[in-house]
Amino acid sequence: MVIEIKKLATSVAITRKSTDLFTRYIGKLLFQKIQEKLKHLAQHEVIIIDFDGIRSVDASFVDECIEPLLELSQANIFPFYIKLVNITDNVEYIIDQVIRMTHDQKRYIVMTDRLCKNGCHALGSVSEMEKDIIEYCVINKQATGVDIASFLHVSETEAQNCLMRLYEMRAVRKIDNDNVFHAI
Amino acid sequence: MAIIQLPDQCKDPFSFESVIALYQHIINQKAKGLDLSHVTFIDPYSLLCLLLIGRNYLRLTGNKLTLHRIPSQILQYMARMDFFAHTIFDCEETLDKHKQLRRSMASSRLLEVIEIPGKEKESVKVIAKVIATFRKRALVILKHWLTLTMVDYLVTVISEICQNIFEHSLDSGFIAIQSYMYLNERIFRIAIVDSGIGIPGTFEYMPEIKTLSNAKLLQTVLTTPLSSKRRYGYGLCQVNAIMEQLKGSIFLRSENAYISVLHHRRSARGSYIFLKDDCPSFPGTQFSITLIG
Repeated sequence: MVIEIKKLATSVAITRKSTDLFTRYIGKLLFQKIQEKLKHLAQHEVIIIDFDGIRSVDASFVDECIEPLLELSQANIFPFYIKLVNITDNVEYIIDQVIRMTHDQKRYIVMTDRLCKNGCHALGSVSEMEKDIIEYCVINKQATGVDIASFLHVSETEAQNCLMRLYEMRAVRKIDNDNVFHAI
Repeated sequence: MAIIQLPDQCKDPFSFESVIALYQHIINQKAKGLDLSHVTFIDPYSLLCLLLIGRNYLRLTGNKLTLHRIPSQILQYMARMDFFAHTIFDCEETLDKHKQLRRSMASSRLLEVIEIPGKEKESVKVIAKVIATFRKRALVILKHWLTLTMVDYLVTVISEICQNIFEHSLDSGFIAIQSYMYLNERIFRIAIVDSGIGIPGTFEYMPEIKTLSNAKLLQTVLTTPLSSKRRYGYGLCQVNAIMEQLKGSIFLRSENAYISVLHHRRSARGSYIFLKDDCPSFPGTQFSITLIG
């Protein structure tokens, strides 16, 4: 499913002509609109949030729109995944800063379509090992614990645990009950 | 009922402290008016703080202050910035139509004084208008600094600070933006002010924060992610991080303290930070965001 955020913003009077998404008010409104669309979601579906036409966002908007979306993707009965595409430097920076903040022991990672300033295709609190695994998956499209163990020279258990953690944060996909993890 | 002479100290946030020092005197003496004859230059921050002085006076006494003997270039500038459109002051002088500064695109190195309402829905609309106008004029306002990315970051700064007005101050506020030359330096300044409960008032119910001096509290809100309302709001921290990237400076004043963070002047230990407590008391929160080029 592709959600064009600019199109959604156009349906709100205040942001009709705007290239910027800001304030908690707008964040809440757009989150509600995205939630409406998620009713038709399939299991393991990747939701592409397309920021084309959006130049900047602020922390309050991310707090109210993007972060709840990531929380939902982790907590939902059946898993789904979020990928941000066509983000500007500003959008990258603000989203990264906001979701990097951990609270209530929660961690968020969100995938993007570009190599971000942190040297990874993901934003948020990503460890160096997780970055390597994500980039491995992006390049090879999929990975198993054995692949990662041999790539990073770590034990299979450690590699598997790390992949599972990334799956729980919806940074990699795990469709069947096998040990193959897929890139988003 | 005296007319109080304003000193020629309206050039930047630091010099304007001398005018704020007169604030209690103006209120207590129920001054009849302010004499601006000594003022040779007024920057957007000083202009907005002057507006707050007038508004507080109006609220406390029910009367408007009158501005006397305004030098013609200052009067022209105030009129151009829509200072008098907010009907907070009476003005002795009038400006002939032919002396008014033109409002062509070429002279749009500024964003006129705009009131940010204290209620969320109205405020969001006004912030949207402010940002749209800023984006339109950014090419001229930021002529000497311009990159599209910089405009994006400044839009984030504007929206973060303006939101604090309706989220925290319990009052309305004002914004003005301008780029100008002063003492051979190109200055870009965003001023955003309110006369609400101030940052110490916002954090009053947080005992661990309340023990800090007001200046330390201002430093904490700029450097540590915390919010009085939500556990994960941290707009001012973000503003500081962005200004560090842009190598700008932040002047933040609230109640009787201020902090000045100079990201364009760094030592080995990081950006220069100046804290000052025991300043003259002035209600609310006042911001000046500056780029010097």
